[in-house]
Amino acid sequence: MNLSRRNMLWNFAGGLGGIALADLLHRDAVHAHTSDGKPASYLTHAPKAKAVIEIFCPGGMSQVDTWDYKPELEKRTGQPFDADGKLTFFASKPGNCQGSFWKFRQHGQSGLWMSDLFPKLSQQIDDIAFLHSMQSKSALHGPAMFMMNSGFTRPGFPSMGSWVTYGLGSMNDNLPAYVVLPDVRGLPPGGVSNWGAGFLPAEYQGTVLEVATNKPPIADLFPNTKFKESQQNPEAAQQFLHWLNQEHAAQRNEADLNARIATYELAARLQLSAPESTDISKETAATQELYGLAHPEEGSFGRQCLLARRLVERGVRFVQIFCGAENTTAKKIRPNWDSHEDLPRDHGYWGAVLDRGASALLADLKERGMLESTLVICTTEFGRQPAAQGGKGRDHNAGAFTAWMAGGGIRGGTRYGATDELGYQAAETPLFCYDLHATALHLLGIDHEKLTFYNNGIQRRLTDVHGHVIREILL
Amino acid sequence: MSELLKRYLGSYSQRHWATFAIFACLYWLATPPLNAQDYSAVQAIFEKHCYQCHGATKREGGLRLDRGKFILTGGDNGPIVVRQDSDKSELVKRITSIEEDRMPPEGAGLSPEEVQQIKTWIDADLPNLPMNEDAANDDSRLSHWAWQPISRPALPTPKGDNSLDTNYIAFNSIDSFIIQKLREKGLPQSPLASWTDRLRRLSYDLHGLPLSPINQPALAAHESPEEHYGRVVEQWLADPAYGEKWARHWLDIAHYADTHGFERDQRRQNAWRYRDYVINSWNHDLPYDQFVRQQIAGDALAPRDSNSVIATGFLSAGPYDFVGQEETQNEVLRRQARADDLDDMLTQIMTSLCGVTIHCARCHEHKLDPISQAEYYEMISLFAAVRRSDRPVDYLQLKEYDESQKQLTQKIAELNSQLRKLRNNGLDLADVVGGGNGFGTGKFDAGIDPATGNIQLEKRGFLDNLRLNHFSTVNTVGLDGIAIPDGLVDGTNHRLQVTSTGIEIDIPDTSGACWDAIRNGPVNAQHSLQLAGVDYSAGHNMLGTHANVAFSIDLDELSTASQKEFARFQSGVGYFGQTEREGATVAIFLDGFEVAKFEKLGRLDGLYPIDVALQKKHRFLTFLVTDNGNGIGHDQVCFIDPLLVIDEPSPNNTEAQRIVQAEIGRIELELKAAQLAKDQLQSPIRYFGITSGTETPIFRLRRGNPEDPLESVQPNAIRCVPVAMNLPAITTDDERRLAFAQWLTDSKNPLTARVIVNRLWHYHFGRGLVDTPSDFGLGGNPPSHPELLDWLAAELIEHDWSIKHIQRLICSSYTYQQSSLKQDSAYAIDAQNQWLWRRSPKRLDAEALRDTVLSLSGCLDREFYGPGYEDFDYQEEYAPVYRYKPANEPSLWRRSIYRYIVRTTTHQFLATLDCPNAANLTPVRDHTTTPLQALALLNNDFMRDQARRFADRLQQECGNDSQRIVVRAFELAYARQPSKSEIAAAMKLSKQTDLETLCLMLFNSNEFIFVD
Repeated sequence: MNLSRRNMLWNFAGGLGGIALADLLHRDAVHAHTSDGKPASYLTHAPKAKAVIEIFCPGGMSQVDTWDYKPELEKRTGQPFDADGKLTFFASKPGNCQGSFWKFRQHGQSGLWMSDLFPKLSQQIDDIAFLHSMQSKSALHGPAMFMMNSGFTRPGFPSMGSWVTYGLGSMNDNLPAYVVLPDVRGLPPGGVSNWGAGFLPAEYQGTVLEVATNKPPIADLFPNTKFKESQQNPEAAQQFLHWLNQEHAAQRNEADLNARIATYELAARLQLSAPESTDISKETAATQELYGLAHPEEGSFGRQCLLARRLVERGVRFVQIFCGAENTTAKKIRPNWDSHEDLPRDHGYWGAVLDRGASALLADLKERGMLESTLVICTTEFGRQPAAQGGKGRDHNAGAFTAWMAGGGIRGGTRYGATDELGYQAAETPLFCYDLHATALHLLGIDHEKLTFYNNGIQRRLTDVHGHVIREILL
Repeated sequence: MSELLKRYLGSYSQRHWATFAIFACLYWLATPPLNAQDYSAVQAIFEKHCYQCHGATKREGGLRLDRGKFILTGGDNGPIVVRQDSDKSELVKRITSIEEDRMPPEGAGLSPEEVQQIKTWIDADLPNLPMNEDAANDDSRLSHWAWQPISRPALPTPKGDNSLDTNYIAFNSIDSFIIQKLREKGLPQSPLASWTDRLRRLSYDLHGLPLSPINQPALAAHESPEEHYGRVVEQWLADPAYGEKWARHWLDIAHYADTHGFERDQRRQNAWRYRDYVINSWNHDLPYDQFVRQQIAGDALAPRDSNSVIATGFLSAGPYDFVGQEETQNEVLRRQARADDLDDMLTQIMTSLCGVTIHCARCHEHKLDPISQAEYYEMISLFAAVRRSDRPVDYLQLKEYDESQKQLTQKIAELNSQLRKLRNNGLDLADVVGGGNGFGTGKFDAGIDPATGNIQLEKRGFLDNLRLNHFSTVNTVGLDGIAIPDGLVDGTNHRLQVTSTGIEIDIPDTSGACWDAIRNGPVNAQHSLQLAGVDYSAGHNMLGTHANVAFSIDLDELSTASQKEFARFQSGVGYFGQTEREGATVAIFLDGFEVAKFEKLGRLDGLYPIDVALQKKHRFLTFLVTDNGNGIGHDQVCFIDPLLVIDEPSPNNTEAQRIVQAEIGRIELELKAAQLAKDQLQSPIRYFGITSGTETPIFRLRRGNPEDPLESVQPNAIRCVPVAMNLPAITTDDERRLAFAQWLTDSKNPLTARVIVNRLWHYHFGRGLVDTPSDFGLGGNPPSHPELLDWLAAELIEHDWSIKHIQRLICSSYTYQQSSLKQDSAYAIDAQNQWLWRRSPKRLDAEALRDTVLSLSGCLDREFYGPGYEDFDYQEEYAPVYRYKPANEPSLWRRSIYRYIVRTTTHQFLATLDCPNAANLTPVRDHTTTPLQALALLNNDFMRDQARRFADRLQQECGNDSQRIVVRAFELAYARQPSKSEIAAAMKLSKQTDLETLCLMLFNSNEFIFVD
C-alpha cells in the first residue's frame, strides 16, 4: 500500500471524505457490526476461513469418470441401463451402462478413490473432502448454473460471492472484494448473472478480472490508447475535478457527494493495485512452472488459479474461477465439460486443465500457509448419466454429482454422502447447493439462516428455506 | 349422560350410537373419566403445543389448528385427520413419530395422555368440532390497510393555532396533506427552489434530458411565475420525450429485454413493438385502466387493433427458458421450466400492478399476507394457456397475405412452365442424375451416393462412416463427380475438389453430415413437394438433394452425347424441408467460379429462379448445398425443372416463329408484373407477445413441485381484496384474462390505483409514499401519508385514470418545488426526508446520464420509435455471442430507451452505473457509489469520445474565445453561469491539458450527476 497516496486523500477530502471513504471501503467494521459496535447478528461464531476460492466447472462434470468410484457400473458396462425404456434424459434416451473412461485407484493415507484423469490432484486427496450426493433441481445448464451459484433456478438472485461480501465486506482497500476470473474462451452458460448481485446493491456483484495478458485487468481501468494523448496532465485534471466537487459539496454538505468524491481516490488506488495483483512476472520460475503457465492449453487456467492465490493473498474475500465457457465456437473440443458426444475427448481435455491448475493452487496455498484460512470449493452445476449417450458421450444428470472442498476448516481425506451403485442418483444423505452454501458460510463465521435481505415481500437467504451445515467434513 | 354426549347423540344415527357406546365403555375402562368428546380439551392441547407454528399468524405448512374448518381441510400436504380412524390420521402419525418429522419438532412433545385424548376425539368422529366460525372475520391480516377500499379523504384543515400555518405554503391539495405531517413532526418546509433548479429537476423528471434553453416557453405578458411554471409543465408533458422517459420506468417493472435470457440467450427481433406501445401510451395519456386492460388482454379485447394486441407484450416481457421449454426431451424438465415461466409471469403482473407478492405462496401459504397456496395456483390458472411467442400482430392480415402470396406464386409458376413449353429446348439434369440422356430416359427416384459416387437405387437415411471432402467420380454420362463438403476439419480450412480435372472451390463449415442421395425426384423422407402453395409433384422435373453435398455436371460430355450446344442453365431452387427459416445454403459454380448463391434458404423463402449464361468454353457446372454448420436437420433442397437450355440457331423468321416469339414476350411481361406484385406484398408485422394455447388444468402443487400435484383448481383472483372475480366453471383463455383485466381495473379494487400513484410519486420524489412500491402487503412498509395516497388514488380514478393529471398535480405542488438544500435542524429529525421537508437531491440514472452526455456533445439522435440500436457485434451460435463495441458512430447515438437489451450479457458501462439487469423486476433502482463508476466515467471509450465531441461542439459555437467556451460549457452542463473563479480554473485546465479534458471533468463532476 502506498501510504503517501492514502495521506493525499485524507488531506484532499478532509474529515468527511475520510468517513465516506471508510463507508465505501466496506471494511469489516462497517459491515459486520451494527452501529453500536456489536458483531452483526449473523456472525454467530469464530470463522475458520477468511476467504473463498471457488473453481466452477460449467457444462456438467461426470461424477462417475472423476471422483465417484462405481465398480458395479464398470461390471455392467454394455448392459441395458433402462430396460423398460421409460426414461428420457435431457437430450436423449439412455444408452447402455458405461463404466468410467478412466481407471480408478486409491490414493493417500485416506485411501479414497480418484480416477486417472487427475494424476496430480490425486496426490492431494488427503486435503480434500468429497460431497458425493450432490443434486440439482434442474438438468438444464442455465437454471442449474443459477442454482449452484445463487440457490435459485431463475436468474436475478444474488450469487454466493455477493452474499459473502455483503456479509463480511472487504479486507483490502484497493481491490474489489469479489473477483471473477472467467475462462479465456468466454463466459459460462447464463453469463454475468452467475456472479450478479441480484437484489443486493450492485456493489456486491463480482468484478470480472481479465485473464488474458494482453488486456487491462479491469474494464476501463485506463483510457484506451487512442485517448491517451489527452492525458498529458492527469493530476491537473483530477485536481480541477476535485476542486469543482469540493466547491459544489461545500454548499450542500451531503454524504452522497462526499462519497462520490472519495471514489475517485479509490479509483486511483485501483489503477495501481489491480495491475500489481495481476503482474505475475515476479513469481518464481518454479511457481510459474507449477501452474503450467507456459502450457498452450493448460496455461490460461493455471494463470486463473495463480491469480486467485495472489488476490486472496492481497485480501480479496471471494474469488470465482471458471474452468470452461459457454457452448460456443470451438469445434475441435467442447468449450466446457458438456460432453454429449465424446466424453473421453472433452473430459480428457478439461480434466488435464483442471488437474494442473487446481493441484498447483492447493499445493501453493499449503506451502504458503494460506490453505487453512482459505476455503477452496470445486463444483459443477450437475452431473452426467452413468448410461452412455451415443457411443462415447453422457447426457445431463441432475440426480447426482460430486463437489469437493478443501482448506479453510475442512477435514481432508473424507467423503460424505453416496450415490447408488451405478452413480445415477444420490442415495445416501442427498445434498443440494443449500448444504454446500450453508457449510461455506459456516466456515466464514456466518449463520446461513441469519444472513438475510428483504426483497419483494421476503427476507431472502442464500439458502432459501433449506440448508444444513455438513459438520461431518469439518475439522 | 353429559350434556356433550347428548349433543353428540342428537346429531348422529343409532348405528353410530352403538359404535360409540362400545367405544365409550372401553374408553372409560382404560383412562380416567376425561371428557373424551370435549373439543375444548383437544383445543387446549393444540393451543399448548401447536398454535405457535400452526395458528392464525404463523401457519407453517399452510396448516392452522385454531379453527375447525382448517383442521378439516389440513395443510399444504393435504388433510391431517381421517374421520374415525386416528391410526390413519397424519396428525396422530406426526405427534407420535420417533423420526425427524415428529411434531412439535422441538421439546418433549405431547404426553401419552394428550395423544390418547386426540386419538379418542378423532375416533369419535371429531365431536363438537366447531364449523360455523367465520374464519375470515377473525383473520387480523384482512384488516391490513392495503386491502381496504379507497376512501377519498377530506383535505386536512389546520387545527388550533392558525398562525402557525403562515409558516407553510400550499400550492395545491397535495401540500395540505404534506403540511399536516410536517406540522405534526415539528418540521419546516424548505424555501422554493430557484427557477433554474426547478426547471432542471422538471426536465429530468419529465424527459430524462438536461435542461435546454430552446424548449422553454418564454414568460408571457401579465403572467405570474407560477402560471409560467404551470405552462412549462403542460408543454413538457406534451413533449414526446416524456413518453420515452416514463416508458423506461414501466419497462423496469416489466423486466423487458430484447433477448430470451437463460442459457441460449436468443434474440427477440420484434420485442421493440411493445416498448414503442408503452412510449406511445404514456405520450397519449392512455387512461391507466385501459393501459392495464390492454396489457393483460388486449388481444382478446380488440384482436384487429394492433396497438391493443401489441400491449400484451407486457405478459411476455420477461425471460424465457427456451432450452427448458422447447429443446429438452425430458418431460420433467419441461414441466419445471413451464411452472417457473408462469411463476415469473404472475409475479411480474401481481407485483407491478397490485403490489402483491403472490410468488410467496407458491410452495406454501403466504407467510405474511392472507393468501393461500390454492389462491396462487388459481391465479396461475388464469394464465395456464398463455405462451410467450413471436407472432403476427393480426392473424387475419396474415391470412390475406398468405393467400395473395400463394396466388401470385402459383401464377408465376404457371407462367414459367408455359415459357418452358414455348421454348421447349432443354436438357433435363434431373433426368441425367437418374441415369438418363436428359430427355426422359432416366429412372425416376434413382440417385447417386454422395459418399461413393455409386448409383443408389435404395432409400438411405443418415450416412455413416463418411469420408469428408473426398471427391468421388461418377460413372454416369454427364455427371463428373460428387463429394460431402466440410470447410473445417481437424482445425484446418479446406478447399474442396469438385471436378475430375482438379478444380477446387471454397466451402463453408458444415456439420459434416449427409442424408440419402441426390436423386431424380425427391430424397428419402422428403418433407413435402409443395412450396409457397404450389405443388411440384406433377408436371415438373425435380432434382432432389439434401445437405451436405457438392456435385458437378460435365457439360462437354452432355454436349457430345446429345449433339447440342447449351446457352443457359435455368432452374428453380427452393427449400423443401420443414425448417421455415435459415435452413440451407445453395451455390452454383461454373468451372469453379461462383455464379449464383442463395444463403440460408428456408421454407418461407419460396422458389427462386436460377439463370446462368453458358459459353462453349465452360465445362463444369457445380452444385453445392450446405447446412450452415447448424446440423442437416431437414435441409432438403430441390432444383425444379433444372434445364440446360439448348442453343439452336433460330430458324428464319417464319410466321410460326414470330407468333411464338410474341407469345414469349407477352408471357415475360406478365411474369415481370406478377413478380413485381409479389415483391411488393407487405408481410404483416410481427411482435413478441403471447399466444393462447390450450387451457390445461392447473393443480395445486405440494411444495411447489410440478411432479407432486394435489387437487385441481379453478381460475380466480386473490380474495383479500374487496372485488370478486366470478368466472363460470369452463372458460377460455380470452375469457379468463378479460375477467382478470376487469378485476384489476374495477374501481373498487383498491390496489391498482394506489400502486400506480405511489409509483408516480416514487419516480418524482425518489421515494414512494409506500417505499416498497411492489409490496403493499404486510411485509412491505406502510404509507407515510396514507390519506394522501388514497386521495391521489381517488383523484386518478375520478379523472378517467389520467396519469398526466396526477403528475401535473405533483409537479405543481409546493412540496415538489422546494429547495433541496439541507437544513440541519430538520435533517436531525428526519434524515431520510420521509416527511418531505425538502426535495431530496437525486442522481442521474445510467440512461439519463448517457442521454445527457449525448445531448451536450450535440450527438443525440432524436429519432423516435422503431427497432432498437445495437451497440454490439452479434455472432450466431448455439448460445449467441453479443460483444459490445464502443458507441462512436451516429447510429448508436439514439436515446437509451431504444437500446437493444441483451438479457444475459449486460452492458458493462451502463450496468456499472446501476442500470438493472433485465433478469430482475426492478421497482426501485439502486444508487451505488463505487470506484468502478469513477473509472467508467473517466476512461470508458464512450465518455472519452463524447468529451472530444463536446469540445468540438463548443469550439464550433464559440470559436477560439476560450472564456466564451467555458461559459457555454457550464451553461450546457449545469444550466447556470460559471463564477469568476470557475472560469479562471477551467481556462487554466484547458491550457494545461486540453478542452476535451475539461469537458470530461465536467461530465465527471457531482453537479453534473446530481440534480438539486
